Amino acid sequence: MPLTFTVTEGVLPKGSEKETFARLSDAMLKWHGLTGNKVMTPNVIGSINVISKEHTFSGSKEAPVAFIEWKVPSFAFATREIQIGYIKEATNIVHEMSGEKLPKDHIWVNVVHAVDGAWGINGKAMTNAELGEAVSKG
Amino acid sequence: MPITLTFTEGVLPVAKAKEAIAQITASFLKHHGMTGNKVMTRNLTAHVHIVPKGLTFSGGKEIDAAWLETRSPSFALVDHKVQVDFFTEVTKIIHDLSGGKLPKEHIWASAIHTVDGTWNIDGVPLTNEGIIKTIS
Repeated sequence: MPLTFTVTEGVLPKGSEKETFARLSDAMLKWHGLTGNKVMTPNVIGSINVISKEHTFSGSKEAPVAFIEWKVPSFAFATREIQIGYIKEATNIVHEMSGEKLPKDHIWVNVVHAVDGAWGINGKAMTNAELGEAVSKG
Repeated sequence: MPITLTFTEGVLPVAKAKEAIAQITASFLKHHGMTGNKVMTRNLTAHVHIVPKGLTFSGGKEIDAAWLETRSPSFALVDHKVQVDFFTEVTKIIHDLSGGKLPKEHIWASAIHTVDGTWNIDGVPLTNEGIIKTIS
């Protein structure tokens, strides 16, 4: 379940990107009731993109931004409670980690659902049902 | 609605990347009848990725290229005419800003719809219905 965390350079104090990423991942597990799940935790993956100041935009003007984008099987982020809870918490995490300098209205979150059956773990293409079964054993 | 513009280094001068984003943003708003909409404009975000030469490919072979990807709520880029008009215009914008050097067939565009309810504006997660109310 990749998280792509994109942030303008300078928004987060140097070196704190990793901690921010970890907190965003932990919050995702928490909101899905999966904290400590041994199957899911190592498969919550992702990358951090730190983009130079002149290459991030809002309304076509240069602006400091943060984008939190999850690509997940369609059983994740499926309830309104999880969507609202996670997005508020994730926005607060980035705002707080920026030393409260990045306004919340410059932090965007979105989720994309991957095609059922096209999730590969350890070389195996897994369906949502197979993923759910594996996670329940974790 | 993040727009990601990715291109091989050298395809566009760095200074032109900013102009490309300005024109692509304006085009997106125009094709959705939202030019001048203040809420939508500031929530139409973008970032630019410049990939080193030698690390962009077509058919497994190195090429110079550009990609535009939009991530938007599922009510955007729905009408086929909007899809055709927007992507045609975007391709022309990138082609023109490359000084006509990047062939149009080396410019790809795609759109991804996000899950309803996972789009936030001003830190508040909104459903598609909520977004439409906010921007109207």
